[in-house]
Amino acid sequence: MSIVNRVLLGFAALILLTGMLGLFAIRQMGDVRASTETILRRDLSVLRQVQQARDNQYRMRETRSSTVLRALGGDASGTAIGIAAWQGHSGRTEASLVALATTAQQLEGEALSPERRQAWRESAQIASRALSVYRRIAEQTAVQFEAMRSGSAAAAIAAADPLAQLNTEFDQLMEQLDAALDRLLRSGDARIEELYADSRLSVVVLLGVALLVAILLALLLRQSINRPLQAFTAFLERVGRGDLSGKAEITGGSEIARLAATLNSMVDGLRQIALQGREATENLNAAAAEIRASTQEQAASVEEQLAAVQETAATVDEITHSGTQIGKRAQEVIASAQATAQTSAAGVRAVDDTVQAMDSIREQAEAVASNIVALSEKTQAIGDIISTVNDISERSHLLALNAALEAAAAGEHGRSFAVVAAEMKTLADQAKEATGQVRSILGDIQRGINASVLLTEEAVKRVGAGKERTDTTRATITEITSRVQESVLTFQQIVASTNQQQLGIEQVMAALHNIRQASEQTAASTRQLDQAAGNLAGLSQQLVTLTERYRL
Amino acid sequence: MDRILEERTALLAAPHRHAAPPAPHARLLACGCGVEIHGIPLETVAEILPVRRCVRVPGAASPVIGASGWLGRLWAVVDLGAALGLAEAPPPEDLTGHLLRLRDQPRPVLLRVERVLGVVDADRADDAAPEAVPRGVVVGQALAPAGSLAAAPRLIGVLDPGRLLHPLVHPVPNGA
Repeated sequence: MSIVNRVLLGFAALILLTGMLGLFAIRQMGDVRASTETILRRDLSVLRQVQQARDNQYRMRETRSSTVLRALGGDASGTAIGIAAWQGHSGRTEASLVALATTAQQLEGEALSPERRQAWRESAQIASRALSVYRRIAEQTAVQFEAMRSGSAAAAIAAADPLAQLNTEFDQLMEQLDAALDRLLRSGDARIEELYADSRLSVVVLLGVALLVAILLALLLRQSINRPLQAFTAFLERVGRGDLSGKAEITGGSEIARLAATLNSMVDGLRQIALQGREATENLNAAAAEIRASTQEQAASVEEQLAAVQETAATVDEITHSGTQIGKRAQEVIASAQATAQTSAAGVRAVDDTVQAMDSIREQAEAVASNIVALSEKTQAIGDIISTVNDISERSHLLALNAALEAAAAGEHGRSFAVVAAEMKTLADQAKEATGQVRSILGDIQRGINASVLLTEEAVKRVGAGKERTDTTRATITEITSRVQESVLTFQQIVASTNQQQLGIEQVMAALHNIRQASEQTAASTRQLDQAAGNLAGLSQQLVTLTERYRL
Repeated sequence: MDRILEERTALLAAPHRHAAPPAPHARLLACGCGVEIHGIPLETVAEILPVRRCVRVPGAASPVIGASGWLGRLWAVVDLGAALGLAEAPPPEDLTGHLLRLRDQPRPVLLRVERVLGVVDADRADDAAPEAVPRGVVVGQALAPAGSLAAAPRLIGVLDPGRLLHPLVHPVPNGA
């Protein structure tokens, strides 16, 4: 069911409820009015009847009294008229009283409330009592009239007292009836109030129920309309945030379904646009990055070029500088070479002196060596002698031992010989000891001699080595002198060529300057390119950020 | 050794006692063999010779160094150290030391020692009876008094040369 139909249905329901409520209220009002009317009508009619009865009775009384007076006054015609009138009134009075009683009884049966019933009953009772009183009045009056006719005034007057009593009773009854009717009226009012209150209550209750139902209906309607709308709202919010990946559900009524389908198609369209946009911006981004990269490469290579040019310029500067330096140094070298030549001549002379000194040292050393050798031979001779002495001592030792042996073998006789043998042994030992000491001293001497020999030999060797070195030095100095003279010539040539080099370098410098200018221009233009590429990259990045808002 | 020193102390401390019998002493020929000194009783030695030319004898047992000609006879040269088992027998080519000619030897044998130090009057350091002497070569110990060989008293082993040379001069016949 479509939303419009639902809304219409809701409205229809509401209207129906309101109509029903109105009808009910009207009916209630009608009821109340009818009741009020009934009560008023009844009361008014009864009141009228009572009034009528009273009036008729009053006229009856008046007519009677006037008739009595006339009768007393001897007006027989007037009396007859009066009696006729009285009868007429009396008849009407009775009729009205009867009507009253019957009305009261009838209304008692139809009473609208217990109080009214009671009041009706009382009224009926009073009316019937009034009727009985009337009858008695009528009888009495008839008696009175009879008396009058018969001309007994005293009987007529005597009949007037009960009449008066009866009239008074009748009046009292009428007053009671008034009171009863008062109560009736009041109870009628109360009953009307009751009816009104009841009907008001029922109307109010029904109004409340109708309101509840209406609210319920409204809520149901709202819910049934709101749910799909909320779903759509949520979906659209997502789309608004950039999430194009969802789809609206198609359920329910035709309008909702149409709306859902339309929304889906719209979102599809957006998605397509976003996809294409994203692809395009990605391509753009990639292209911008490529351009950026290539411009940066170009910038880097231009920078390298510039750096290389500067390096070359610096190197050429250095070369120039060093060329001048070379010229200066060459001059200095020439001067120092000449000084060297002089110095080397002095050096050669010094070397010759050294050689002579070394020769004399060598002669001295050789003399020392020959002395030492003689000494050594003498020591050797001493050693031989010492070994002979040692030999002698050894033999003496053996001799002593053998003597001791013989002495021991000889026993007693050999005792003095044993002493001699012991002495000999002692001598032999001492000699051995002495030879030992001498040998050790000789050893020391020999070691000292050996050390001296070694030192002298070493000295001789060193002198020989020194002589060799001196010879080498002399040769070297001579060679140096000749080389220095050669180099003087060479340096003069160098100075000449350096001057020529200088001219060439100046030309190179000019060329480098041109190159540098060109490179700087290239660098400037490359920087501009790079900047442009950077801007492009920035823009494409912005685009990418924009398209990334949409989640597909 | 301590016992000897105590005895000596007692002797010196009691001069009024009649002199205790002197400890048996012997006259020994002190021979050095490495770091040890052995004593050979003087009565067993006939003569002391300087070392002589000695020739190798092929097939000779260890203590026998070689042979030497002297006084017209061929003498066997035996090394004391090798015979005692203390050292190797030196080669006969460059022999050093002294040669001893012993008395009462059935065969001509010369005992080679490294060095003859001298004659000492040594006190026997053991009181074993001669009968209880073991059947080894070293028959006892003796104490050389201070000053004879060294500054302090020195203990030397007493050898019996007969026993030393017995297995060499009385060879066991083969097949016996």
